[in-house]
Amino acid sequence: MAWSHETLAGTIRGRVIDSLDAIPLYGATIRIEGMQLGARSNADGNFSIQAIKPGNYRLLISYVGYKSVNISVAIPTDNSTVNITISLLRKDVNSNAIIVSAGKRTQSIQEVPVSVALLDQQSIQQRNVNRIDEVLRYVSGVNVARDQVSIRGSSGFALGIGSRVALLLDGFPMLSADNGDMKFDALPMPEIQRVEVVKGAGSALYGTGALGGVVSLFTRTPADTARIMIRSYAGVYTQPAFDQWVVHDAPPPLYGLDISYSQRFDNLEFTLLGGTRYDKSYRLTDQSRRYNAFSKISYTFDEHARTTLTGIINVAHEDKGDWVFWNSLDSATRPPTSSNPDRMTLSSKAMMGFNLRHLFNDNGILNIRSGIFLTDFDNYNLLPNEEAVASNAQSFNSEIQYSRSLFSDVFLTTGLNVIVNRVEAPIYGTKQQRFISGYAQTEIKPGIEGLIMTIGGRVDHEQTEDADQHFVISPKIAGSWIAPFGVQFRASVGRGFRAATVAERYAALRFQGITVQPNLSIRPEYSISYEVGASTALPLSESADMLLMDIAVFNNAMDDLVEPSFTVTGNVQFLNVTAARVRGIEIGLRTQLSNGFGIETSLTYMDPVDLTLNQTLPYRSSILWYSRLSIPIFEHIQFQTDYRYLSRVELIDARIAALGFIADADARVAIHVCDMRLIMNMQSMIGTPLTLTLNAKNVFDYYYSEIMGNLAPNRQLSIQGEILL
Amino acid sequence: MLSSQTYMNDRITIFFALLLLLISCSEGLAPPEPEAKVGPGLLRGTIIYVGGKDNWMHAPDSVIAVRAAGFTTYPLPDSAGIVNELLEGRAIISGFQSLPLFVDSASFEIPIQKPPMTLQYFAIAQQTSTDLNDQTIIGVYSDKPNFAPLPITIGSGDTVNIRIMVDFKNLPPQPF
Repeated sequence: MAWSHETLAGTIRGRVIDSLDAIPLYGATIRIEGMQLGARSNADGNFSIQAIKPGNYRLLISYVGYKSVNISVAIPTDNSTVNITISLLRKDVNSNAIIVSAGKRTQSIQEVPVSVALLDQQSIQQRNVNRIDEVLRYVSGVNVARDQVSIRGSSGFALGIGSRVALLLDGFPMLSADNGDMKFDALPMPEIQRVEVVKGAGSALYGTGALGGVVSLFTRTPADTARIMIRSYAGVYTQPAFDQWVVHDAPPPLYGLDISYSQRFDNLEFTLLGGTRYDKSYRLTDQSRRYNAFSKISYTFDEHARTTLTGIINVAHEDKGDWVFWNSLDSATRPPTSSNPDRMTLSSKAMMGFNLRHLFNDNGILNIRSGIFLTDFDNYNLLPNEEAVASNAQSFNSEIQYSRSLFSDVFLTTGLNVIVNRVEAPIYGTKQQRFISGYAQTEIKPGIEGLIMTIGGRVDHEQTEDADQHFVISPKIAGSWIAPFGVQFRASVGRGFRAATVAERYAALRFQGITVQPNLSIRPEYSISYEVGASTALPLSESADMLLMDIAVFNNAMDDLVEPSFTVTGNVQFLNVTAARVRGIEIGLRTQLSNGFGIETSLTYMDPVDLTLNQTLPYRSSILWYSRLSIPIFEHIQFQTDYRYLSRVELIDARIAALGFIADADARVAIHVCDMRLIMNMQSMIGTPLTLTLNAKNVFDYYYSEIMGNLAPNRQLSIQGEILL
Repeated sequence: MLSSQTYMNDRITIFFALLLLLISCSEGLAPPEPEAKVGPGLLRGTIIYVGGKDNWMHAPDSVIAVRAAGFTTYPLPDSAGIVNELLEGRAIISGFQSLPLFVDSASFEIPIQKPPMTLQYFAIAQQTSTDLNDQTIIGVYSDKPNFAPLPITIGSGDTVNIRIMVDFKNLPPQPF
C-alpha cells in the first residue's frame, strides 16, 4: 500500500487501485473510523469525502476480494484537501465484504452472526439479468417459483400470496399491501448495485414477512462524473422439441431497452432510469409488455455532511396475458380449454419514499424513513358475466431508527415502525391492516478478542378490521467469533412471523374453476430459526488465489403455517394448517483466482417435514445445488456458465390432482438448468465503451415445472449490448 | 505454482464438461407417450361450475338431473330425436343416473365401445322436468366465447380428458 498527500481544501480525495496491475477498483468502501462517514470509489477508482473538520483520522478502506487497510490522514486547520492513492492487495472475499441489512447498519460480513449471501454489482452485471429472480435463483439455499422466493424451504406453493421473505429496496419495504407478495417487475434492475440475502428468521428487526429471511436491494450511488448507461437486449425462445407444445409460427421474441443517467454535483446526487420490455412468451396468452421508471435524488444539507435527505420514486406498468396454469401436460403451453384467451391483466406499481439521515456529534445516527407502495391490477377483455380479479392497495410505512455506541464495546440500534395497509377490491370492499412496532438490538463485544454478541427483539401489534388483533414478540440472540486461526464462527437463534395478508383473510374470488373462500380467524404464522455456521478462506497459492468456504447447519421450526387448502367441497381457503420443521446443512465453496478463472458451488440439503401430518412438507426440494464456472477465453472475452439443480419435489397436495382442477398437477421432475454466456468487453478490444453479451438460458432446453401446472421457460437465446458513457 | 494452477483449472473444466454431459442426458417433462391403440376408448371429463355451488341458485328452474352427452352429428335433431341418436349409436351420455347436483365440480367417464369416434358436439344438459325430453344445455365443450362446439376424437385405446365450464349466468345457445 502506498499513499501521498497534497493539500487543497477541507476534503479527502483519493483513488483506490489494485496493487498488482494498478487497475482502478470500482465500489471500494472508504470509512472514517468512529465517525460513520465514508464514500465509495467510482468507476475510475476515485472517491471524495467532503467537509471534514481539521484533525487526525483513521481511514478504513475495504473492497471485496482485497485486504482491508487502515491509514492515518491529517486534515490541516486551513481545511485543505488531502489527496491519497490507496493500492489494495488481493486477498479473500469474506473478510472485507460490507453488509447493511443483517443488523440494519453497516458492518463487516465477518461480524454478522447469521448466513448472508452478498451479490455485488459485478456478479449481478455479469449474469446479464433483467429481473431480480434471475439473480436469486443462484443464491445458495434460495429457491424461486414464479414471483415467490423461498429461503431454506420457507415457502411452498401459495398461489403467489403471502411472501415469507421480506423484500426491501434501499430500505423501503416492497411487499404489496393486498397479497403481501413481491413484484419483481417493479424493481429498477439496471440500477441495483448490490443484493443482500439474510437467511433465517429476521423479524427481530424487520417484523412481519421476514419469516424465512430478508432480501435487500441497494441502488447505485452516483459518482462525480456523469454516468450514462444504455442497455438493450433482444432474443427469442426456441421452438419446443415436442410438436404439441409449439404454439407460435415463429420463435417468440423478447426485447428490452433501459437508459439511465446519474451524477453527483457537490451536495446533490441524482439518478434517472427508464425502461421498457416485451416478452411474447413461450406460452399462449402469456405475453407481457412492461414499462418502468426510477429516480433517486439525494441532497446533503450541511457542511459537515451530517444530514442527508434522499427521495425515491419508482413506477412500473405491466400489460400481460392472464396465464394461470396449463391445459394439460400434453398441451402445456396452452391455457385450459374454455378459458378466455383474450383476458388480460393491467398492473401498475409505484413506490415513493424519503429517507432523512442525520449524524449527531456523539456519532449517533438518526434515520427517518417514510414511504408508500401502491399496487393496482384489473382485468379487461372479459366475457359477459366473467368475473374480474381486481385490487387497489396502498402500503404506508414509516420508521424512525436511532443507532449509536453506548460505550466503546456496546452498540445499540433501536426504532419504531408503523405500517398501514389499505386495500380496495370489488370482491371484499375496503379493508385496512395496521402494524405498530418497536425494536431494539444491542451488539456487545464482551472482551474476548473477535467475539461479538447480539441480543435484541421486536414487538409488533397487528390489527385488521373485523378480525382478531395480535401481539407478536420476536426475540433474537446471536454471536460471531473470529478465531485467531482465521475461521469465523457464528450462531444464532431468532423468531420470525408473518401476519396473514388482507387477501388471505378476505379473498372471495372465483377463477378458472377455483373458488377461494375468506377466513377471518386466520392467525399469524411463526418460525424459530437456529443456525450454527463457520467460514474461512484458504490460500491456494503464494499469490492472491483463495478458496472461500462456508458451512451452516440450520433448523427452522415453523408453526401455524398458512397454506391454501382445498376443502372437502373443492374450494380453496387459507388456513393455519401446519406445524413444520426444515433442518439442513449448507456448504458453499468459491475460488478466487488471479488469472480470472473461477468456480463457485453451493449445496443445500434439507429435510422438510410436516409435523402435523407426519409426512414430507409439500412443494419443497430437499437438495439445491448451484454452481458457476468462469473461464477467460481471450484477454477480453469471458465464458460463464451457471448450473442449477433442484431435486424433484417429493410431495404435492394430492387433493389438487384428485379434484382435477389442474390437469396433470403431479407432473414434476428434478430441475437441471444450465445457462451460458459469452461476455465481450469491446472497450478493451476496439476502444468503444460497449459490453456485448451472448446469452443462452436453459441451453439444453430442459423441460420442467417450478409450480404445479406450469411449464418453466424453455431455451432462450439473446444478445445484449450495454454502452457505458 | 502456475502449472499447478493450470492443472487445477483443467480439472475444474473437465468436471464441468462431465456435469454438462450429465445434464444433457437427463430427461425432463415430456408430453405423455401415445398408448397402444387397442380396445375401447375412454372419454373422461370434469365439469367446473363457475361460482361454485352457490351459483346453482341461478340454474334453470327444476334441477332434476345433469348429464354429459356427445353427438357425432351436428346440428342436432330436436330434443325428441336425441333418444333415437342414442339408440343408433350416434350419441353417448354419462348415464341415465344424474351426475352430482349442487356441487362445485363433478367428473364423469364414458367408455367408447366403438372407436374411433368423433363427437361434433359435446355438452352438459340439465333435465328440467320429469320428462326426459325437457333438457337445457348448460355447458358446451368449446374454446370460443360464442360456444362454437369443438370436436373430440377418441381413438382405440385412447383416454381423452376434457374440462367443461358451466356458468349458470352465461348459458350457451340451445342447439334445438
